[in-house]
Amino acid sequence: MRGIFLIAQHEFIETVKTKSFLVSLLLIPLMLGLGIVIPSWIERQTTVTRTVAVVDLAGGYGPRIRAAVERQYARKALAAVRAYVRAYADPAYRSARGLDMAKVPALLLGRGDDISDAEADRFLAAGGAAWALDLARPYLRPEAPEPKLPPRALRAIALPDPPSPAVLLADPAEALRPWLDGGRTVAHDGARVAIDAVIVIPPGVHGAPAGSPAALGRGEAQESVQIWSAGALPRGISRTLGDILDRIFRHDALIASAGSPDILAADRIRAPVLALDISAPGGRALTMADTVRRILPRALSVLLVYFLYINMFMLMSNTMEERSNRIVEVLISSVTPQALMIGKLLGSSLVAITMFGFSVLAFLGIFSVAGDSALVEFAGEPLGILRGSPILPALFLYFILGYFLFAGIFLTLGAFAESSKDVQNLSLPVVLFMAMMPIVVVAFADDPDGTSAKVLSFLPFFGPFMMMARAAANPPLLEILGSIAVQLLTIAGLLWAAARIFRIAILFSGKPPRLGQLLRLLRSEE
Amino acid sequence: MEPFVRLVDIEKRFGDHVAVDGLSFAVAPGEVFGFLGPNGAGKTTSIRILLDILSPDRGTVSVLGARSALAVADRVGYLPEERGLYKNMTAEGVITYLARLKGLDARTARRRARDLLERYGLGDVARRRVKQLSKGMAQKVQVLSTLAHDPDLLILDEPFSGLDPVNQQVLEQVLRDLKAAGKTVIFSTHVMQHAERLCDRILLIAKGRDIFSGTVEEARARLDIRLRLRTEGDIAPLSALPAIKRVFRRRSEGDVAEWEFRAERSFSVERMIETCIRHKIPIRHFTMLEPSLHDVFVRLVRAEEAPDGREATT
Repeated sequence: MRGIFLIAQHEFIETVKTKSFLVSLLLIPLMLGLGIVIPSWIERQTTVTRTVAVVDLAGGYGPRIRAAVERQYARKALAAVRAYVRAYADPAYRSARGLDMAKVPALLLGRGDDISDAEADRFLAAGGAAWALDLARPYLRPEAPEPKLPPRALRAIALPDPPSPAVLLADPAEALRPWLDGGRTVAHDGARVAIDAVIVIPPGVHGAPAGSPAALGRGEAQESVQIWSAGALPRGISRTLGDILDRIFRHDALIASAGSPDILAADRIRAPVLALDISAPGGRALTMADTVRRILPRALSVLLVYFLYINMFMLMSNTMEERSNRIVEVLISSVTPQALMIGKLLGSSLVAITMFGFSVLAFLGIFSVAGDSALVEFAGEPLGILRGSPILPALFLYFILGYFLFAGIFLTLGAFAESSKDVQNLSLPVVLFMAMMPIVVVAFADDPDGTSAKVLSFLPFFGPFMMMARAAANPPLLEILGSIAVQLLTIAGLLWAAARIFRIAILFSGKPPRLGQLLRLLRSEE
Repeated sequence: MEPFVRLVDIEKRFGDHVAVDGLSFAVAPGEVFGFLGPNGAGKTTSIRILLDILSPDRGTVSVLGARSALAVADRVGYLPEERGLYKNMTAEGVITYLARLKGLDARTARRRARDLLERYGLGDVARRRVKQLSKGMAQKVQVLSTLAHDPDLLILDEPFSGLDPVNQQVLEQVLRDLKAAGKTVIFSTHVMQHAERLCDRILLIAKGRDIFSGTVEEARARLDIRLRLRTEGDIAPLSALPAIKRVFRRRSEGDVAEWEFRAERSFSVERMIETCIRHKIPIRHFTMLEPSLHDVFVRLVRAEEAPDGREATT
C-alpha cells in the first residue's frame, strides 16, 4: 500500500508541477471561454455597416424598407439591452421567475426582439439603446459593467440622383455600376460611404405566392424586386433584406385582403403558451433554468469525453517517458508491476479530477466575468442548477468511471510506446472511438428515457456518458445503479487485463505488438 | 552461512529462444560477485529473474531468505543496464523518491540523498534538474539512487557502461566502499579489468549457461601459462620438458629467435631456467605471461560458441 501511495503521490505532484499541466489548466477553460466570447467580440469589432440604397419605381416601398431596416436594428439593440438587464438586474427587481413584472418597465421585460413596429419606432424616437439603458439603470446592480451593444450591420438610404426609370429598366446593371463598383459614393453622417447593394423595385411588382417561381427567385426581372450588388452579399445581409421584403409584401397582401391596415394588429397575436412541469406538487412553470438543466448534462457529457482525452494522452505520455527512460525497471524492482499500475492510475486520476474540477469552475467563472450579457445570463443558470442538484456529483462520478474505463487501456498502450509517434499510432483506434462517443450520446440524449438511451446506458464505455447526458431526466435509481455496476465490472475486467499486459509491456522491446499478440500476452502466464 | 542469493536450475524462454538454460549460482554475504558474459548471454534476464521482475519457466530463486526479491525490496538496490531518470526532477528529488520507495521516510531519504551527493562530489548540483546534468553526472546520480536506502544487497547491471575513465574509477571506489562496509554486490560487466580488480568470485555465462564459476585466480588457471624466451641456442631440451604443450617461434632477429612456450599450470619455471643453464642455452630475454581474465573470457566464450564445443587455442 505504501508503494502505491508513493507512486500515486509522485505521479500527481510531478504532473501538476509540469509546465504542460499548468498551461493546460489555464488554457483549457480559457480556450473554451474564448471560444464563446471571441465570436461576439469579433462581431462587435469587425462588423461593417453595409449601405443599401433603394430605388423605388413602384412608389411607397422606399420609406418602408428604410424604416424596416431601422426597426431591425432597434429590435437587435433592444434584445441586447433586455439580456443585459436580465443579467445584471438588482435582486430587488427579481422574482422567482425572472424580472419582477410589477416593478420593471414592460419594454425591458420581453425576451429577444419581439416588439411591434410601433414599439420599435418609439424606441428609436426616444433615443434608441442609449435611452433604453437610461431607462434600465435604476433597476441594475451598482457594479453592473458597461453593456456591450451589437453593432449596426445595415443601413438603408434612398439612392441620391438615381438614373431615370427608363435607363434603369433598360439596362440596370450598367446604370447602377458606378454606384456598386465604388466609383460613386454617397454622403452619410458627414462621411462618404460606398453602396453595397441597390434594391430596385420595378413598377407594378407585387407579392408572389410561396413556392411560385417568382417567390423562389426565378421570376422575370420586371416582376421581381431586384437586389443588385458587386458579387454576392454577406449571407446575413441578404437574409435580413429578404425577411424585410417578405414582411412588407405579406403585410400589403393582408391589408389588400382585409381591406384595412387594422389586420396587421393580428401579426402581433401570440399563442398564450405556458410551459408547465408536474415535478412539483400542483405543477410549476418551466423556466430558462429548466431548459439549461436539460441541455447542461449533454454539454457536460461531451466535455467529459474531451477532458478524458486530454488526461489519457497525459497518462500515456508519462508512462511512455518512464518506459523510454528505463526508470520503470527500477520502479518494478521496488514495487510489483500491479502496484505501479494502480499507483499511476490513482495519481493520474487525481490529476485528471483536479484539471476537470478547475476547468469546470473556471469555465463558469469566465462566463460570469468575461461574457457579454447573454452569456452572463446563461452562466447564472448552470451555476444555479449545479448548486444543490445531483448533476455536479454525477459529473464527477461519471468522470471517474469514464477515467478508469479508459485509463487502463491508455496506460497499457503507453507501456508499449517508446516515442510520441508510438503514442499517436497506438492510441489512434481508441481516440477515434472516443471521438465517436459524444456524437452517439448526444444523438440519443434528446429522448433520455427512450429505449436507445437506456440500452446505451448499460453498454460498457458509453454508460457514464449516456447517464451523464440523462442526469437531468432523473433516470430511475435501478438504471443508475445498473449502469454503474456494468461499468465497474468492465473496469475490473480491463484493469485485470491491463495489469497482466502492463507487466510484460514495460519490459517489451521492439515494435509495439498487434492485437493478436496482445491477446496472446493476455492468455500467457508471463 | 546461508547465501544471500541462490538461483537453482533457472530456465527462461522467450518463444523458441532459450535465454537462460539451467543456471545455478549462489552469492555469499559480503561477496563482490561478477556476473560476466557476452552480449545476449542471458545476464540481464537472469538479473531480472533474480529481482522477480521476470518469472522463470523453471527453477527457484532465493534472495535474502525470501522467495521473491520484492519481499525484501527494502534491502536490495538495483541499477538496471539501460539507465534513465525523471528528467524534470532534481538530482536530490529523484534519489529521495527512489529511496522512499525502498522504505525510507521522507526526511531520512532526503538527508541520505544530500549526504551521498555531497560525498561523491555532486553537492553543487543536488537541486539541479536531471536534464540539466551531464550524462556522467546523471549516471552517478542513478548509481547513488541505488545506495540511498543502505541496501544489504546491490545488483548492478553493467554499471560501468557509458562512464568515462574518471567516473569508472569513482564507481570502482564506490564498490570498494560497499565491500568494506560488508555489503554484498552482484554486478555484470563486459570489462574484465573491473571484475579482476573488484570481484571475489565471478560467474561467466554464455548462451544462458554457466561456463565458469569461481575466483579470478581459478579462472586464470583455466588457461595455459605462456612463457617467452629469446635465445640463439637450441631449445630442443626445453621442448621436451614435462607439462610443455606447445612451442612456436614468434620472430627472429639474426641468430636470435623469440620462442613462445605454452605449458600446463603445473609447469615449473625454475626447472626451465635450470635446463637452460645445464644445456648452455643463452637467455637474452625471458618473460612469463600471466593470462588475464579477458583472455579467459575470450577463450571460454569462444569455446562455448564453437559448433563442436572445443576450446579454441590461444
